[in-house]
Amino acid sequence: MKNKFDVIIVGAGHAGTEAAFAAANLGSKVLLLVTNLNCIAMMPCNPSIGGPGKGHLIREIHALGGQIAKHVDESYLQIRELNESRGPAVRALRAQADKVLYHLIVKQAIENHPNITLLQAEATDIIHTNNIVEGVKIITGLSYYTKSVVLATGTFLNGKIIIGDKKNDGGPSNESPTKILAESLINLGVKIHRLQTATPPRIDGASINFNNLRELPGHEHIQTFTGLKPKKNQRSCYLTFTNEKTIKIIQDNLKESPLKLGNITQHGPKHCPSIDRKVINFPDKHLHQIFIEPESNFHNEWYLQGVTTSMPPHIQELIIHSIEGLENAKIVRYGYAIEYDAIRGTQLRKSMELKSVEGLFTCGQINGTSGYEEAAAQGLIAGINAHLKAYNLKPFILKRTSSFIANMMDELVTNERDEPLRVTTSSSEFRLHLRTDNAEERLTHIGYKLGLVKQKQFDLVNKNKEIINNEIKAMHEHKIRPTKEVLNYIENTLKSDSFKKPITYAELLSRNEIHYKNLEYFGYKCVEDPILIRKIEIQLKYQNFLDKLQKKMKYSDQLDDMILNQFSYQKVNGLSNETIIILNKLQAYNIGQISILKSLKPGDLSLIVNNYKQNMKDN
Amino acid sequence: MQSNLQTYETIVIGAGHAGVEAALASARMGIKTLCLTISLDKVALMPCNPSIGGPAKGHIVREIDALGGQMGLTIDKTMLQIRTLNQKRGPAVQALRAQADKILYQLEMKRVLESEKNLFLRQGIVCEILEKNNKIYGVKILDGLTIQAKNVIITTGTFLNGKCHIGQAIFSAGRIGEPPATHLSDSLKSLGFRSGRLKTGTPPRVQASSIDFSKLEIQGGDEPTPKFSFITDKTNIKQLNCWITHTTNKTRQVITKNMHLSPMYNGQVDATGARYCPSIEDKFSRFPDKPSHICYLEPESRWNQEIYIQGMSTSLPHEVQIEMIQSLPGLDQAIILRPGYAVEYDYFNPIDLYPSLESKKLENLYFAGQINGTSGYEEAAGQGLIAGINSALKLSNKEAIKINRENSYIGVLIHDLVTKGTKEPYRMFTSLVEHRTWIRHDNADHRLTKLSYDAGLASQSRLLLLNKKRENILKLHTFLEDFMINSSHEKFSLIDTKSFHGRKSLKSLLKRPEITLSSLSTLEDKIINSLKDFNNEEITETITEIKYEGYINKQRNIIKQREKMSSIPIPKDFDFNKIKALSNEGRSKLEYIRPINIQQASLISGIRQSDLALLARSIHKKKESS
Repeated sequence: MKNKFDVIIVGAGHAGTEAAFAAANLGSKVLLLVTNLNCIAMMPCNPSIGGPGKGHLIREIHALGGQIAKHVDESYLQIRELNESRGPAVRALRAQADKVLYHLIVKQAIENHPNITLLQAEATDIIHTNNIVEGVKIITGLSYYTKSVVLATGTFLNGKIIIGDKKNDGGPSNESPTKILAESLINLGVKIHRLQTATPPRIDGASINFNNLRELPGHEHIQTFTGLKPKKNQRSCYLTFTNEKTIKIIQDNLKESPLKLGNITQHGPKHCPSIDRKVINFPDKHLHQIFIEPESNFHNEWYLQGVTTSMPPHIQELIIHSIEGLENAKIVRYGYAIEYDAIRGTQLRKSMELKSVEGLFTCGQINGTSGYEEAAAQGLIAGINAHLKAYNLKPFILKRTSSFIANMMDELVTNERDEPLRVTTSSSEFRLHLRTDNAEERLTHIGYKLGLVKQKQFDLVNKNKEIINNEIKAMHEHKIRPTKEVLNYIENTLKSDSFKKPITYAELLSRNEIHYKNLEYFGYKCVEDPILIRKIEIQLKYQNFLDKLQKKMKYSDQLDDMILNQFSYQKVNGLSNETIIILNKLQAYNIGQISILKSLKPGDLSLIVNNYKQNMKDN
Repeated sequence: MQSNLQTYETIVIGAGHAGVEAALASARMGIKTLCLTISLDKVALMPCNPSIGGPAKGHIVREIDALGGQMGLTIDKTMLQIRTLNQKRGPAVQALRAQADKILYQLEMKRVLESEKNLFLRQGIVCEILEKNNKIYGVKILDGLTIQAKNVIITTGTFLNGKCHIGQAIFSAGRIGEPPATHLSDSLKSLGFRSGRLKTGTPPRVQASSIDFSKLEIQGGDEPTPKFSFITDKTNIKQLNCWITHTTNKTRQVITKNMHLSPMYNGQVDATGARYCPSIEDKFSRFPDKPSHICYLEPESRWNQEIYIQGMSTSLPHEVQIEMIQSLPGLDQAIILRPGYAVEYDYFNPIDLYPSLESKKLENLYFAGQINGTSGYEEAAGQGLIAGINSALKLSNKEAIKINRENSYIGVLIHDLVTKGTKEPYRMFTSLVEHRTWIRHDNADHRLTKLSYDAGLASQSRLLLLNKKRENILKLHTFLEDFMINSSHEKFSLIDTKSFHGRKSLKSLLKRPEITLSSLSTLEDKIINSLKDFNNEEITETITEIKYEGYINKQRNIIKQREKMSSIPIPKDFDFNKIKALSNEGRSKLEYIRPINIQQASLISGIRQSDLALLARSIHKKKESS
């Protein structure tokens, strides 16, 4: 049947496209629906991908066999490593994307994929029998059938654009919002709430005075998201700041901010506050950073990171013109807030399938997250699981020690929250292990087993892993004796402390000031690949911490391995009725998920673990 | 700027093909211009066919270029293919047609707008036209801003109360996926403007990789590549192919069987569609005996796989579209990426406009493009350009530019619009132009560049280029007049033509239809060498002038007479009721249309010669008495 697909995906933003690639690369026949083909992989907000936490997600998606890293690498204007001077856990890649090129490249990749059928049409209804998904109906009246539907509608559901006291129907960048699908979801019993997010004004580059601003050029000595050497001739970003005048303007006009007017839900992204919010929360702070970022080589629009606002246009003009370098700036798009329907993530299983609707997966901003990267990561997981569902296979669940993706997913589906969820490096207790440098070592074998990672990528990662392991082993075996010549080199050239007994290379390298390449002085034949060197150094320098973390990780893995299948909380002695209700509602996949439940009382977890172990023994 | 008020000199609403020309012309003439668009990602979008030009439309593009507009330059930079159509036919109907790379065209146009000094391009949805004492003073945008301006040019395309139809599915949209503009239409209606509904349609887009091109006939571009703009140096493109296929018996069956499901035929849409750009269901119902209709497959961009199926415009239900497309040879496995659809929208009757495109009802308000009931990017751009120029001229208290029936396609287009109004989408044709032997695509610069230069738009370099070209053409004329051939010339007998006595100039020989310049150049090397001083365009134009000299002169004489007549203006406050002897029909039409001069009056259908004579006499009298 021509109108039958393995997986149907609604929406082709960062979640939808990643879901489509994942399901299609696993062999599913995918139908990808989008209301406007010109908006595939659109970036309606910042023109950047990555950053702390978010950059981790991109590297992890890549390691698992997802596509976003590749597409960013093909279209960036600039790439930098943030927090270079800080610990390895918080270092992260961040790229300025060429918004226009990025859209074109992703659209090309979709069109060229043999397993993806692309169609411009608004989805209007989820077809189902007794809450088991059977397909999707589109606005033209046609129906398409499938067992697996992935919703990735972003901020389009019942979108409203808010500027000052004005509130009108609208999707991001004045696209049409979608209205009908939300009704279909409500009829399915899905609970919907309102969230908001906002975007800053865009400026005509010709009107910016860059002369006195700090230039932030791209980095050429790092590796890109897919591990390539960065290109030459990168574009620069610029840094400027708010000042007392800016703050005064905002304070004087706060009454015109939708936050004060009350014509918008207060549930916005906590980690991405509007400038109005920053002034409300920190009235004494005058200096807020503003990054001025190019949006594309094809046009001259610039993004002002740090001045998100939905104040009325004339106030936006005043705010912008008070900032150094922007005195004569021409605003080409005013900032705005968008309010949209989202579903609470706690209605989802870990596989991203709705507990109440079999075969219906949701991912991205519709789930109450913020950010392209969070959306893409969910898209990957939803796409994988939608494929597995279509083929009656078991869901794909990542352990929390594996990745930021897993931590984000667990948090999303376990704990209720009122604001959009954003990933930061503090989102995981395992962050020293979940670094950007070792994403491949952590995840590629998983992606390979799944069928998403190609043999070549897997072989390369394995080869590197072997080299790294051999090197680490060698570092522990090789010893240096404190001869006069050695000490002279250590003390005078490397400015490090002297030592009396022979020490291993590993011990030496645990010192901050010593680098792997220094070992060449002792006649050691070092590996040359800077990517590998970096991985080796980090592992040796943080060996102690990592060793300590191992215990925690092992415990977490044990909890994650305790899969809950028809587990009866009633039978756990000591749990309060309230807790039992919460746990029954949660339908946790494993005890690991329960372990992060915020409403769990101290002691409850061990009761459940003990009961679980007892059950296992009894069976 | 403490209040929510901004000030510009001119505001252009919309950044489609009309809007960008209007905004650029206005800004280039020194006017501080704000161009507002619903989405900055949609500047100069081509929502329908990925091509620019063709007979009559190509003429308009050449005229836009001669007048200092942008369309020709941008398409020269972004085309995928270009051809000269009707090369074997007369010079009047020859025209250029290019396939555009839709994506690049848009991006390039946006870049041009961004780099124009006096032009401010901004995203914003206009919800109200602000007016006081019948004078415009600005617009209001949806996010609360009031923007003052002396002039406003409205170029909203199909966005006013736009409604899309695919089979029984109806949804509000300016174009699919884009919200319509509803407030602005209400604002204009409340100001008393006469509106109507029109519709247009677009065919489905098909994924290239699902088409078996080996079964299709290739249509390539011309080499060397011609160019639209008089100032484009040269075009350097690797051209892409288009393909040709035909509807089959199966296609006809599918469409006939499902005709009742078409929104155009079951009463769902009662707006009027473009007669000359019919949907496939129109074609089959109007020409039931025609076995097959031609379809052209055109690439939309190097950046994607979308293929436009020209000739298959439809609003039949989605499933019928699939069946219909798959009934075409080579497309039996075709995947539709975007279903075709019809869009109906509000237009405002251009009879309420002066030939300058300024509104009669509200001073300083201009209308251009599809909102005036036209169809086509080129028609829109032509109007946009004229509205932009005239709006700028008005701000410096100057007369409108003299674009008229006698000098241009754009003139004919605008004249028809403001004189006859529109009831169905107006599309330009060569047959609408009475003086088309004179008004050709090759001499658009000759006809128009000086006018635009005097108005303050066309650059001096354009004028110099034109002067140089005219100089060379005159030189070539002289050479051809002076170069004599003896009847006894040994090689002359090789040319397939009648012999003659004595001596004849090359020019007089060229007047014979069967003789070409290249056949004459075989006579003597001297001819070939002398021709080397002239480029192809100069040669073509000269030859056309020689071969059609009689017709051209005749037309230019009529034009001169007409110009004399059109120079009799009708006063704005003229009371037609005072002329007792006017025919009733004549009086009511004159009252309704309020032509600005006798010439415009003469072109109104139903106006008798006797009415015109009465009118001329009455105006003359009034002048003398005052």
